[in-house]
Amino acid sequence: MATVLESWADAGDEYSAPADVITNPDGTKTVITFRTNQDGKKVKVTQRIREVKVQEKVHPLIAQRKNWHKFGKEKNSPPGPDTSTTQLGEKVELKLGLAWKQAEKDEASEKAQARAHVVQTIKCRTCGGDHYTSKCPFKDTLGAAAGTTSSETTEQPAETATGGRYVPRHLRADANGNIPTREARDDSTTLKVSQLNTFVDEDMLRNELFARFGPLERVTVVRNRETGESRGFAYVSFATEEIAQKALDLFNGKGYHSLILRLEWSKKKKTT
Amino acid sequence: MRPIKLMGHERSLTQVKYNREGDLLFSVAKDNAASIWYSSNGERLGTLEGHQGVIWSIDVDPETHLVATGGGDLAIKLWKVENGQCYYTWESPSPVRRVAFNSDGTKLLAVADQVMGHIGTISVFEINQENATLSNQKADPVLVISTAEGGSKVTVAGWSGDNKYIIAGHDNGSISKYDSQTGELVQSLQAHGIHNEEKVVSITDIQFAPEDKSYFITSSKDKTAVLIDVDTFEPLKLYKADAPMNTAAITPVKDFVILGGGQEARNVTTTAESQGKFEARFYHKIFQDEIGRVKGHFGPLNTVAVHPDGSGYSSGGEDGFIRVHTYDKSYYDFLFDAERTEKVDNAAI
Amino acid sequence: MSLTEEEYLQLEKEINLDDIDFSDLEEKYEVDTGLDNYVVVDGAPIAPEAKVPVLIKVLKKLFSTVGEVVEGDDGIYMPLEGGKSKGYLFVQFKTSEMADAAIRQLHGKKLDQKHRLLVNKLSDIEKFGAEGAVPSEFKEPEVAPFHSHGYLKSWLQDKQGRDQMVLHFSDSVGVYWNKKKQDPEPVIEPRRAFTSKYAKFSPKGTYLFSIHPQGIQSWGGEDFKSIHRYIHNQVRLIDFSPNEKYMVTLSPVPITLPDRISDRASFPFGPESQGHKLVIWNLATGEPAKTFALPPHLEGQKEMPWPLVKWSHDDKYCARQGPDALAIYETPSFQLLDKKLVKIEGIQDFEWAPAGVPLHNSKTPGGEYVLSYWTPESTNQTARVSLMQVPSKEVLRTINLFQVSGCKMHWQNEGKLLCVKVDRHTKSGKTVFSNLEFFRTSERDIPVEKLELKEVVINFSWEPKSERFVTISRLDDGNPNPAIPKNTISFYAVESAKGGKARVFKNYKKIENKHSNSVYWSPKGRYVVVATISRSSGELEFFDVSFDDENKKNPANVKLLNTTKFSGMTNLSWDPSGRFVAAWSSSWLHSIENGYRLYEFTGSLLREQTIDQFREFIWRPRPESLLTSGDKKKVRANLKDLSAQFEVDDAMEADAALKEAILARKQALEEWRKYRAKHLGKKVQTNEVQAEIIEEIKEEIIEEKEEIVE
Repeated sequence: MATVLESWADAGDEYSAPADVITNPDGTKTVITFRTNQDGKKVKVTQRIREVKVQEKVHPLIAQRKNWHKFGKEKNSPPGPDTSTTQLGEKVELKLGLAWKQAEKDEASEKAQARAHVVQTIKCRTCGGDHYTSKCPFKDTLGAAAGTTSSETTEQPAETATGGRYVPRHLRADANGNIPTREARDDSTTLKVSQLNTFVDEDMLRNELFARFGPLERVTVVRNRETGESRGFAYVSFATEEIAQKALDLFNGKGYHSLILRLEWSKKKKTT
Repeated sequence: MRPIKLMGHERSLTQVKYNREGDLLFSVAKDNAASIWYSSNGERLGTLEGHQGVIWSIDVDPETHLVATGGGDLAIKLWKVENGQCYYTWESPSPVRRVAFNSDGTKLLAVADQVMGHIGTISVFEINQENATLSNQKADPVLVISTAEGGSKVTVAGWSGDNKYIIAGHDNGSISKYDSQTGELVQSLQAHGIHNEEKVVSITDIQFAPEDKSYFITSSKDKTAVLIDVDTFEPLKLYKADAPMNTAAITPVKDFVILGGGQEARNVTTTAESQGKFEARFYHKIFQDEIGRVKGHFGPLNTVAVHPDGSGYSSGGEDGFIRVHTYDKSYYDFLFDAERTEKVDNAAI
Repeated sequence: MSLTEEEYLQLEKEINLDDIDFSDLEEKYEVDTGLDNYVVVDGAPIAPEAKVPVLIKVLKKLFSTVGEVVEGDDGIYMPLEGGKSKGYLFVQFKTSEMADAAIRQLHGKKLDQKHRLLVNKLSDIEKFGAEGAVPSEFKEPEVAPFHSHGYLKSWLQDKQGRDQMVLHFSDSVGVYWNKKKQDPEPVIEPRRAFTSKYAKFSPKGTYLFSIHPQGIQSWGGEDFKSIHRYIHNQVRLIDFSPNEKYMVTLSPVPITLPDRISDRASFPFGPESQGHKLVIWNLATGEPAKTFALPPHLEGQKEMPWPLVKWSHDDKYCARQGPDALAIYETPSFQLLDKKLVKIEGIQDFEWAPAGVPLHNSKTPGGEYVLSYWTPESTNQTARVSLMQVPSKEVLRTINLFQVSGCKMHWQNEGKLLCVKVDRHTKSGKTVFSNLEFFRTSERDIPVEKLELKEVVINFSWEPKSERFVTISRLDDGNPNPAIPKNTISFYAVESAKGGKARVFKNYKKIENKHSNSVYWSPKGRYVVVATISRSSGELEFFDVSFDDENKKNPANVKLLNTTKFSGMTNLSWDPSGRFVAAWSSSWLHSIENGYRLYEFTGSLLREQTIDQFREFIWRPRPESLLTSGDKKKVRANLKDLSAQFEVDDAMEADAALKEAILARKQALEEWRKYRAKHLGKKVQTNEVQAEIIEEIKEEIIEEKEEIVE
């Protein structure tokens, strides 16, 4: 048995590496871990984590046990989970059904498709080639020249302005140095789905209605602020515009839970 | 769903277990400390320090007062959950593979392995639950059930719902029902090793139905799990997998069973492809169809436990991790055609 | 069928001759004793011998009016006794038919104040007068044993809630279950020569009727077994009261009583119906309730207005229109209301409110009986539309109209609104345009709202249980070229005015330059099919008038869901549930594309079937739902679960292998429940305690990103 154990311990090197935890000034934590993806590439996973206090109704015995003092290795540990032993994992799917194998296969192939599409969209800002700007072989030669004519040079200061801290992609300044606003978000792959029955939720859209068009970038059912009840429409972002168009063609005017669906391109809200 | 990863163990997990309310999760591994976790957020309450080697099994009494562990160091230890202190240690003639409290916590059974010239046994100890005198326990078992000569050794065991019987699973794939008072063999059944041509058929886990413990599931290296009724001792359902199964559990709320296992590490190439691909398998308890899998572990699953309120499950893997899952809404919504029709019919009545 | 000698012999051996009932043959070939030509007349005056010849002469004259009395002494024989006639005589006619006629017409005839003639057949005297021929003791008449027709509403118990339909092609009629995309499932095998004309369901779908030269035949129950025959020679048209209590039939051939007395016993009509053409039947008993002669002004008309009898919503009253009068009858007596006609000078048409009308001052729970009628312009009188309450005959409201060329009355199906479409002509009389006059019957003084249009409305249709309607109109510009599409479809609804009471019908959508000419609302409302039914180009347009507006917040939001062509289409019909639309091309009208198509309510085509000599598609009507509004609400709330069940059924229908799997699962589930039931009642741990509120720290991922670093 011991050998087995070791072989797993060996293989586990990269994933069992302790997480890199940075405590941010705003009280959140940034946890950086590495894992290996399906293509054997190393993936850096950066999570920003906030600790939240949650109130829950529980059995009195549970409440009592919540107040126990920690012991053993945890003796004197502060309340709350310790990142060295407890981490939130990646999301995993449990697709129930006899056809789960097929569902998984479909999803994988669609993911691959989506990835292929993403790859195509990579465009070097320096030379226009099919690679990241930072890896451009001409970045030293062309970069300077281009900088005088185009606005790309503003890229650098914009990045440094954030003080080297991680800024999520969608919040990064664009080439013109504008911090993108919510309104300017690219909605080219987003459909507005209306005429939904009120009990239809995100899961149902994701796993039932648009399952074959997955993975979906974003699914938001618009709800009443107070009651949380669906207002009968949702915004769904697809991986590509083509997929969105397919979904639109297929479902617009079709019945779903006794209502006739209406799908349309989400209109960009006007910035005023 | 987004599982919580628990990384408190340094080596392969051997057993995970929830208490009655499901707020605490108990875990043991091949390192020498047991851990107790708050299941809702993965915070560790503490560790139980004292074993000298592999801990094979852990169980908690219904009141979450006492916890018992048994290990390869020939020790059965009794701890208090609240403070993690060890109050008593029984000595075992051979490594302890399984410990289990009966339904009121007054008795504890321990399965001793058949090694080092010892015949395998199931020993039953009386537990003194009195808080003030916890360290005052009877050293001798009230009952010892020894493996019959030439018989197959016991690998796992547990109590039936009314504590009337002890059910044991054997290395040869058979199960036995013993009278828990007399130790007499009431019935036995070749539950595994008959469904296919597998040579290794050892029973790896036994877990009882959450509703009333009137039936149970056994998993086996023969790549199957079987659901068996306590009273009739007849097999009710069979679940077939494509790899040796190390563990099986019956879910409350939904009529599912969860199986865990996987090819032994030495039999698989540890390519990147297979990483994170060890899966918990969901079967429909009644229809026997496999209906889904949950990925995440980097090695075979050694143990799964279901939350008593049916809201999630935890799995412990050969990779040394515990993954605590809470189901999404879609889990509850899923119904088979026949179940939906039944639901509607019932609503109509 | 022909038999060989051998087969015949075999057959003869099998049949016991004693068992064969030859009575019909015996009767047919009975030796004519000649007595059938004689009648016995009793009750004649007793006259002295001297006056007998005069008496005979008088009587001979009388009897000769109905038939030919044999000449000479053999003709009339009046026995004498003691110089006086005995008060009876024998009359011999040339034929027995004449004798029958004499009995029919002269039996009971008053000769004078004191003498009433009793005319009987001599053969009957033989038959009944002989000692013991008629039993002296009363014998209970034998009541035919009750014969069950099965549960007449069995089709409503279909587990999948499917609807039935009749397909009539060439001379076969079949009843089927609608199975959407799949071949319809026969309820009964199609029957050849089922009807000589057409088939028809009663309004609630209980009975199916077939038309035959001899009368009507009703069918029902699970297997559509014969239920009753309604004898009405050469019957053409049939109609029903809304609640299936009565049937109205019309034949161009007047009722004549059979001459043979023996045939009259099985003839449904009595002498009072002689010559009548219109019959009201009691559907349940199969007996005629009332017969009418056709009013003289309708005799010889080619196009018969139909129905001739119109019913109040609950079958309580029915009415017939005559020249300058309305005849209102009360059921079940079918006596004229107050024993007299309602005089209405020049009445053109009338309509009952299709439901009890909740008049402003009414306290009757079901609402009042109201009918509307109109009268045309005359020299010193405007045209008028009036509402009359029944049975009081009080005129509730009248409006005056002028330059009217025609009126059509459209009741909204709840009786709360009446729209009168008034076609008016310009002063020159050259062009026609329409006004719509809306009577709000449930409001005080019944206000009337007028909608003046420049165009002439050729079709008007209320949405069921709603205040919305659709019209098709066209500008009467004197250009009759049918190739130019100039019809306009308009959707109207009541504008939701805030505060003030003024509610006005507003046009919410207008579609111009169409050929469309027919409007078909879904029986459940909301969806409407506007169709073009013409020789050249059939088209269906499916509309949703509450599109994207589940809670009906807007009066109307019209959306065209689908447009589809069906060039041969002659008819269109919604199923009673409002889920499907059937359109068909009938060979009664032309032979282009005969067959039917089945659409979903959204307009997507489910099924297309071309059938040679296809005649008619008839949905089986359903009675109103018995569910309360609470029940319906509950169904709506649980729609997801309930529809799941039907999805399973649909899936099973679609795939046989799947069906097996599902059935196996059903069984497994049942067995498991049975197994578990044995353990029920055993102790179950319950820890019912008050919950406490705790606070705990959880981690929440705000952002997550992945980068490939190698």
